[in-house]
Amino acid sequence: MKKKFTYFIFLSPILYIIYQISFNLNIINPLSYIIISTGYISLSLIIFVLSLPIMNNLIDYLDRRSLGFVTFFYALVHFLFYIIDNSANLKYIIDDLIELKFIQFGYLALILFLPLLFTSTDRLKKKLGKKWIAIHRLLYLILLFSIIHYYLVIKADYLIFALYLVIIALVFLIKFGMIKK
Amino acid sequence: MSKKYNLDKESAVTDEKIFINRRKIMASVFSFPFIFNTNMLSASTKRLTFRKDLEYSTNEQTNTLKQISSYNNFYELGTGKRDPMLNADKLKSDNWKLTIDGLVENPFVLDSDNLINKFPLEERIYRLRCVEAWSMVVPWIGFELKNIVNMAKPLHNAKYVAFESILDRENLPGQKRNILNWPYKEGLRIDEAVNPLSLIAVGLYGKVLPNQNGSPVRLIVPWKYGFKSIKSIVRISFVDKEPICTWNEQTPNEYGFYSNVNPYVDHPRWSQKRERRIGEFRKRDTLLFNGYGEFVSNLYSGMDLEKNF
Repeated sequence: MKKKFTYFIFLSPILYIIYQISFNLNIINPLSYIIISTGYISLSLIIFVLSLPIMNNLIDYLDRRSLGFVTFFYALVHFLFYIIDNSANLKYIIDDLIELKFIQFGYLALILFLPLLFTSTDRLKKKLGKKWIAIHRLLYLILLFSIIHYYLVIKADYLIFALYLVIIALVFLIKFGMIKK
Repeated sequence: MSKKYNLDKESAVTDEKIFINRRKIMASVFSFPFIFNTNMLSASTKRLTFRKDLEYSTNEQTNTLKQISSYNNFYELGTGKRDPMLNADKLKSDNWKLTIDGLVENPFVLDSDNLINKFPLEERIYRLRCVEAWSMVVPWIGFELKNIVNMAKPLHNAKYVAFESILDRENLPGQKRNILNWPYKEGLRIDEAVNPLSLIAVGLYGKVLPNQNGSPVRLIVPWKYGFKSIKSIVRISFVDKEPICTWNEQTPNEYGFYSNVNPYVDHPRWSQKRERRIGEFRKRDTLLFNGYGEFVSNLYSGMDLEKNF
């Protein structure tokens, strides 16, 4: 039940995006729209997952592992549509990887999801013990690379980026006990 | 070269307001999403009289009015792509005054009527390449910037033309914050300004410009990245030094004074090798000078385009 609820709530944005695009609701550049919106969703979910421990009521209703999968799912859709945007042309993609810094940070963040994904089973969690916790702390690094990836793509308007920084700062200050809830 | 003249028969037959109201009623009866693919026209949009240019216009498929008027970079009206359309009414473009001054024999002012009546208008179908690696094909209505230069009679020491957009912090939502150093400024060398491609646009698709496209008067320099084509101009000044250009001032290592479309000089965020033509699925290769090399490459002979980007 918790799992289903988590998937239902957090997969609904992608359904809304699909709806908007299929009914042509003023989406002029659909590939770019999908890439940008899934980027924002993915980044927001990373922060949300990291802030779950300080939201003791919410945690009862949500399945953390499912939430992790959903977060990775949006990051993957973000990446796959970037590939589609480049007509899956390997030359275009390699050119970007060599020349564009923000693309490099994007890859770093995405690749760091893989160890989390591969160690997500109960069996491995028990087996790895403390190591498992260390591996899953990579999410902080994913957040860092994602934020740099986002920062590097901004042209001039840093308002929303600044809001993200404020929220991240608040979450961390509460989480590490520097501010009492 | 043969020239076709557009006599604007449609509005001569049916009064425009009735014609448009009829369309609006039809649209509301069958208000399925696909209906909105037809361009939504407001009853107040004024038709222009113009001839069709065949010398400089491309015969490529034009983008729809909806695409051209709802996917814009016009930070005065907000930084999102849809913001300029959503906030279009915040731009007060009535009773416009365009001042032409600086190092000239004959400074003058053009008002709203002058802008569409003073010089014969023509339709120029140009490619527009945004620095963000997307592009469109737009049927602009306007006149060559050369007309203004000739009328102003620049003095011998005038080397550059500086352009300035509207400053209206009270009404323009984007100017409530200093995202850019308002007002928006742009510049050209005089020889670029008198190039026949340099257009002062006052309309598109046969009508006056929608606000979000830089109403009532804007520059179009199709061989340069879109941000050089400054919108809603209030002042054109002839000067002796390279004028300030807003994006160059903001981030000099990313946006140069020239900003000619050049697939060989990359930007830190966008590969300039390719572009997405809005409405197409596959990316296409970006052409040097946006494909206008035959008209403009002589302006830059002997210049290192990688240094003078």
